[in-house]
Amino acid sequence: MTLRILTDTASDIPDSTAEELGIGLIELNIHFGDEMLKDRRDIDTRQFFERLATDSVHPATSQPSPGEFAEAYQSLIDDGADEILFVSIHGSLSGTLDSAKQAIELVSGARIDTVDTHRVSFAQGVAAVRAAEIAKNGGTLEEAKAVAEEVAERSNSLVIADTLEYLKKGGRLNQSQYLLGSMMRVKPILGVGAEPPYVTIATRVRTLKKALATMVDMATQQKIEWAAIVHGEGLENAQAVQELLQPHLHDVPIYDVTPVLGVHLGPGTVGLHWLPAKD
Amino acid sequence: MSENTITTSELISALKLAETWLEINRDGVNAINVYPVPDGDTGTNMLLTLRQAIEATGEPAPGHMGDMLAKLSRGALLGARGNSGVILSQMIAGLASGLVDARESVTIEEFAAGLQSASDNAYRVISEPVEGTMLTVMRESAATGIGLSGKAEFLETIVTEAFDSVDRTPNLLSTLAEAGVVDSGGMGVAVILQGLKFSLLGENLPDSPVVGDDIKVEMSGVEHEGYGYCTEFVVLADIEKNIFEKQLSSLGGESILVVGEPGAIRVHVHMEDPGPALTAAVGHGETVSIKIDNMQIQHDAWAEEASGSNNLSEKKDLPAIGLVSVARGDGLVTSFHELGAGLVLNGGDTGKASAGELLESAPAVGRDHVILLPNDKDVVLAAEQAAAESENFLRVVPSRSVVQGLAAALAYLPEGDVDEIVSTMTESLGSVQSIEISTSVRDTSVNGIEIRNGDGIGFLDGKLVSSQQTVIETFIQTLKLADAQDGEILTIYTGKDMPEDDLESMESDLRYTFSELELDIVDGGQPLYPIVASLE
Repeated sequence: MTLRILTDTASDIPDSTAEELGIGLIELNIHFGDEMLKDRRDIDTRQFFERLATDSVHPATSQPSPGEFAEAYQSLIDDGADEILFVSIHGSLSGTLDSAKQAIELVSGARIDTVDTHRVSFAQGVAAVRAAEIAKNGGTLEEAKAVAEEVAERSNSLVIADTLEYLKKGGRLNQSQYLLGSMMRVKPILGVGAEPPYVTIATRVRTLKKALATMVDMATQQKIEWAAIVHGEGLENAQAVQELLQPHLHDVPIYDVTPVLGVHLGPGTVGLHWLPAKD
Repeated sequence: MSENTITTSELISALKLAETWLEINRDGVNAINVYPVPDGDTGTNMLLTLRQAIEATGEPAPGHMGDMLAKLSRGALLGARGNSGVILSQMIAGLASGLVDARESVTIEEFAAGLQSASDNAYRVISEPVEGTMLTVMRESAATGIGLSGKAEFLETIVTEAFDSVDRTPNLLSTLAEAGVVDSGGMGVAVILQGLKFSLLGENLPDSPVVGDDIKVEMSGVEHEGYGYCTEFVVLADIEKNIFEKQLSSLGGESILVVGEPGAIRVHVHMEDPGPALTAAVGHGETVSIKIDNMQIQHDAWAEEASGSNNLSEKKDLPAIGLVSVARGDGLVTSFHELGAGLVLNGGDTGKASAGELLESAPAVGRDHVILLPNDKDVVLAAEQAAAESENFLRVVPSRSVVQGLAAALAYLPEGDVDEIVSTMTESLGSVQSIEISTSVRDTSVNGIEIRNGDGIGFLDGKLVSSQQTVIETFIQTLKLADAQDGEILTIYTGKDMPEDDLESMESDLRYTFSELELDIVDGGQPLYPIVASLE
């Protein structure tokens, strides 16, 4: 039996890591008007933020189609997989999981299952990574699914965005949460949850400096076993977070946000994703 | 009118006349108000509390005295305004519980016991009873009435003792002595008792008030109290009171009260951290009867009396957790609204919202819970009282200044675990330094700082720390004392009396003196304080 893990680009897992761990990556789509771009393949993070700053059209995003999912499954099957686990971006924030499920009956030759992580970025990605480790060690589809679900539930995210306008425009932040976080002189810290309204204001502070420190404080309330920092045009802030995390966890890796998430966060964001240690 | 009894209707008439008499004396009582905060509203607060209590007895009031007093008590608890109003309401509650079984009339002995119960209850529920205040006046007055049975003798005795006790308050409370006044709340109690006497003995009200409003106050006891721990203990050692007082003061103690004689001195002090005070005491000798109260956590005793409901209507469009704040000034009100407050009360003429007002208005802004930000030491008491009446619907984050209130409002969230949100908000009270600049209205000296009439006076976290000729100079000196150069952001709320020219010069002065500090200047529009600022 050969088990392979598939996830989407919103997991923020870099291509190199995916390749190393044998994780398949399916791209979400970015639309500038009528022009459709495959996340990462047609536009990288630097190019995306350049275009975001200059293009008069505000971009939108979309899930991969069931057909694209069927292709992704087929390619893993052709590669020798007879079991596939798709570790999905938050099923309430994206239609990706629906496409993934609909595509299952379009292919044959493998047992396919899905996990809704109810997370995004590396809080989702870490579930895929842990599931891939199970796969690499000869684990079954059921074992990998159980691990992915457990890790996803345990993982957390906090994100500081320079502005909430992008989340608002993309419909990922509801009006009351937007109002709560968008007044002048306030720096909101965002959280992601399984229950509505999914993207929430976790807390509010006065300044960016305080926000970075508060984010680390909140994450390190418990002992943490793993963390990742993801930024979009916010390397300095990411490094500040890394520095603040040093006493708790050494040299936490910093990644570029994938463009499709950049659409909803805008430039100047930094996110901290972590896994509290099990008791 | 029977010689040695008081009927329910006589008591109601007497309460109404007492209210009138207090109103006549209100300005005089206000004028001598220097403790605990010299804001000149004690007379008003007591009057409004008494008025609301009497209104609550209904028309016609019950003939059963126990029932009438129960209504009076509930009205007082809801209408309690300010510190003195809260204490008065507890006295009324004590009277009501003492006379709960009284029917159409009571004997003088029974009424005397009721007054004793009024005093006992006030001492029981006030977390930090201070002598030389209305508590003392009520206690000493009630004590002289015990054992008397003739109506006229009883009433004359307790009223005479009340005024005598008022005269003695400066001996007990140094703030009063320094200001050259007697205690205003105590005077209010004496006036009320005298009003009752006039009515019950069928006497006419005098032509002029017993308290003049032309009293010269030598110093405004301009010290807000910081929150922290109320610490009390007895030191069994040969030590002079004034020496130990100075020692406590040097340790940062506030509201210091040391009584007794060498050999056994009783100490009351407010400290941010009670540790050093106790260490100092133990250094002198054996220390006993140690009692430490966290002043942020107010008495739960009121909760026992809680009854009645909130009329909570199911309003689906309200947030699960609402926020009510108290503030004056358009800019400050807007700031609270922006941070999510569904309602910002202005607290009427005195700027202090009553328990009843809070209780009544809160259900309009939240579905499951409403969090109250009192933004004033006195209103904290009213808010706690409202919360106790609300069956867990109201929660209080004890903000003692508008700056603390804004810091706490920042941490407010309209949904989630209310205990967690209240606790995060309460923690954030200490995350900012609170600066208030006002101008002095008299020559005085406070905390060793010479102040001239018209000078600026600067408060840091409620404590007067500086005084310079102008508001701006005072502000800059206060900022230096607050180590503003190490701060990150300074938010300034300018008051309605802040001149435009001063504003410009202030900004350039600040940028020059504190070049690293981020400035955020907001038109607060608040009265009394040209500058309110938060440093973080």
